[in-house]
Amino acid sequence: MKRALVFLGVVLGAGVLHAQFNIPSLPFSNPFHPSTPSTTTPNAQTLKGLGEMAQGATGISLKDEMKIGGAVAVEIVSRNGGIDRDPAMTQRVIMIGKSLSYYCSRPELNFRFAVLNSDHINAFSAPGGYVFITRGLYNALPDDQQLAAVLAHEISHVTKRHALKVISRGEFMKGLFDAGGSVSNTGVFDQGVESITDSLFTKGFDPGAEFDADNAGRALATKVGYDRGALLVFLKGLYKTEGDSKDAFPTHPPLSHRIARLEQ
Amino acid sequence: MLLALALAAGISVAAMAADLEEGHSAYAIRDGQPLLADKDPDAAAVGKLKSHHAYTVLAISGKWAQVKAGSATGWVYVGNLSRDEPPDVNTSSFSTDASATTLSAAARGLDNDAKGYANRKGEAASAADVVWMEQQNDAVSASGVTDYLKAHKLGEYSGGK
Repeated sequence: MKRALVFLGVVLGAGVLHAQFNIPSLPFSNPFHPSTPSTTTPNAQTLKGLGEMAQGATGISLKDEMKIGGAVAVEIVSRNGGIDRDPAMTQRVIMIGKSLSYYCSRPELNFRFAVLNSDHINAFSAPGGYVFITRGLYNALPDDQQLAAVLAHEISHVTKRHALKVISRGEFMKGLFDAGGSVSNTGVFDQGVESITDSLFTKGFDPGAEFDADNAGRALATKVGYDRGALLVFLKGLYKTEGDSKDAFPTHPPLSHRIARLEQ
Repeated sequence: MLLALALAAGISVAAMAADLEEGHSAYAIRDGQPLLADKDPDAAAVGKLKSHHAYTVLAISGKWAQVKAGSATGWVYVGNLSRDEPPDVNTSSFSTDASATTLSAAARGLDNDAKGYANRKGEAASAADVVWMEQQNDAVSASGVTDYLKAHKLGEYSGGK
């Protein structure tokens, strides 16, 4: 366990994705964030689009969520060495994941789970219900309880649409789709997906969303019957090994803050 | 030790049902959720709940909530209820076609636009991995999930009323 946790420092150097289990500490700031100066000049249509988006939680339908999520899932897999197809490991992750997603607040989603072929310690999720855990993290989790805690955290990112809320703020989505619902401007779509994933891998997700996923994930795991304290046990284990070192966690909020929030 | 376990179990149940209160509204997390005659997942169904309908919680007993649906009164596992109304999947869309709002979107495999993205980026192998991931997951049936819950004593099959 200790040996595996040492990999965390390496992982953090490689950057993180938006919905990853390990929390980035830097405030989110990508070119599409409204609070950050854009790399492009908004036109009237864009501004109208932003107004329309504000009417809904994210302004993105389920079908569009699957398009975006599918592309993000491809990027996650591509950047993490592909998927480890070990049958027993895959089946265990799928069944624990599905036992959790069965009781989640977005039953309309078909959640899918897989193990990434990476020895770093990390976990990711993409809109639409794609949830990944690295082999390194899988091996660092001693039992079903802690595995469920990690998966529930990732599921909660999806159910709470954390990534979509970031994406829906962007300017690139408006006008991307034709009347048939397909992407009509592939250049913009590709650039948008790439910019999002690049930004999220390196700068991380809003810490507030991570705290939110910690709490919601713990509630979901508890609801299903897993150990309510498993997430805290895992985080305390990490803290014992790594502390709040910014060398080891350059993009993460301090573990002690997450632990303190969960202990409140 | 037994006391500690009992207390822990009590805390867990309380946390699980914490967002539901007697006399307050609750929503089924999925459409068609069976309303059961007893606090038992194998009890007979006396009705079905709609996901966007607010039901008044008449009583909470352990992991089970008693609600009334029409003329029928029955029990639902608290994990199948939420204090908050489920999000509307028909939320406004950037796409304009009617199928964009259907639930079948989530059941499909990797979207063609996502595959197109992968091809343009030279990530066809990663797309194939995602498709494999979908196939492995979609091979698990709903009854398979239920069997897993039963075997591992999870959710409504965790025992106790």
